Amino acid sequence: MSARPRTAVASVEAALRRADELDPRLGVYMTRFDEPARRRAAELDAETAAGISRGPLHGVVVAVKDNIAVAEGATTAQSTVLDPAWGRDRDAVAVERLKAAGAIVIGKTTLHELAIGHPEPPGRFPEARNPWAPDRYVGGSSSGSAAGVAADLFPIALGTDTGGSLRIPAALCGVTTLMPTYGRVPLAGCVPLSYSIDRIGPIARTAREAAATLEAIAGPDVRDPASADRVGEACGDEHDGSLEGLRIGVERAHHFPDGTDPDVAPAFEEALAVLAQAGAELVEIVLPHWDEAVAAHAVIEGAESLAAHQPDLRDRWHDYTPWTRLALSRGALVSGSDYVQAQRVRRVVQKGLARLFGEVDLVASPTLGIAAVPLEKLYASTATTLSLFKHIHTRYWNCAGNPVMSVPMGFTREHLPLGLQLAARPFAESVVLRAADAYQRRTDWHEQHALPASEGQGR
Amino acid sequence: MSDEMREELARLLQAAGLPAGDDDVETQLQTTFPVMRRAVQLLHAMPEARREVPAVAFDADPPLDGWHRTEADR
Repeated sequence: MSARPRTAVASVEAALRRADELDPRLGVYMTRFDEPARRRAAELDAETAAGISRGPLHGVVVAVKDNIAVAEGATTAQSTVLDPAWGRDRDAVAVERLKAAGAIVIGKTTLHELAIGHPEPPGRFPEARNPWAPDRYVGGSSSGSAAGVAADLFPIALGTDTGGSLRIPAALCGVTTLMPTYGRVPLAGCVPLSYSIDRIGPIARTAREAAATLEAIAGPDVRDPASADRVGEACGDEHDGSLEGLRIGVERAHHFPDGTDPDVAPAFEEALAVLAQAGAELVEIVLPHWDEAVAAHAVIEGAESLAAHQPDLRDRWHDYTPWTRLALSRGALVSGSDYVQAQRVRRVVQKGLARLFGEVDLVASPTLGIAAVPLEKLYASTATTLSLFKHIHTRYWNCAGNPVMSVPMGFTREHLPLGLQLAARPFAESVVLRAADAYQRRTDWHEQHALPASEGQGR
Repeated sequence: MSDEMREELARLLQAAGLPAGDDDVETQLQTTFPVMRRAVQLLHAMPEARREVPAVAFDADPPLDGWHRTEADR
């Protein structure tokens, strides 16, 4: 873990001062838990004084996306439709585990409405801004979690990913994220969007911080029947930074459509050279069934998210923003057999990947083919957003279920962050974390800070 | 979008009880509907999926040789 102020109380006070200074213009926090965080920090410092350490997250300040329940405050999911009683006074399983590991939850972060919405001008709720360029898109839907880490409001945050919601904002904000294998982290206490696709994961500055967070929140729980019983598998094993013996499949075929930012390809080639320098063997591959996987994702997400929201959509149509209600309505455009067919295709995709991961240990690609676009373009027309979907290279992996990271990969000429996406076979988080850590030992993209440090702030 | 497709869209939304208005259709659904139709056609046209078991429960190690072997498995 990177250097921090010595006590938990000092960490909390520094984070609160930073939030006071920056959050009015960044829109990262939906809710802050100042006093509970101060009290918890004092308790943890007392434990430290008594010689007790809960591990690498002891006394570390974290924030939680506002679609994940935290007992200290309400969950809105950036929606006026969600029942205010949902999750009240209860922690999601992942949050329970973070707290048990000594983390201090300092607040809830902003997102796109119900984790599927569209960026909207501030009004109903605060809206996160990209710390690198406040007039540019921050990415979503885990917007506040990524922006907050990038702005050094907190070192670690939880987010969720159903179509890229961890990796898109992480890439656009120049921070690190890990979407774990489906089932690795229980979803109980997370507002559902797509039951068989949703995942909870960490956003942090480094792969090591992401590993420590995953270690804390991973493991089965009876409250989520889809959570996987893989107890005893370490997520972030110690290693020496070498990638000797690893074969990395390089995917270009589906990642450079027309209109890709010209700065993406050179940054990607440079990243590959770093991985090779660390000892990895690079081989060219083509991901199997790309178009079908993306189509299956659209059908499954559409059907499952409509199932989650159909009663409210019928009764409270206009309480959803237009983008959100129409995104959720996609499920009405497919049949039950279409949904089952999509799940059959998903199995074919998973088999194709099982074969591929018999040949390689990782797959590398750009996370996105573009950097952060001007917000005004997105506000002006949803057609602009739809036209950008071909540059978002995340949904394939949501369909597949594999663990995937996005790590900072450099900047465009306009100094906007770019992301490198690394995927491994299911439950091989230790492999993807090893590669990300080795990459970060040889680069300093993840150490670039969007905003200057506050007075007296430790980093 | 053709009139026929527009009528089908309206029918599907109504069947689901979704009170989408003309604005909703104009702003997004007229773009989304053909995309979803093409996605569905692609899924049903995939020969490998013809006898596949749906992935309703995530399987980290799907058996490559199912009871129904596909051409791709041979």
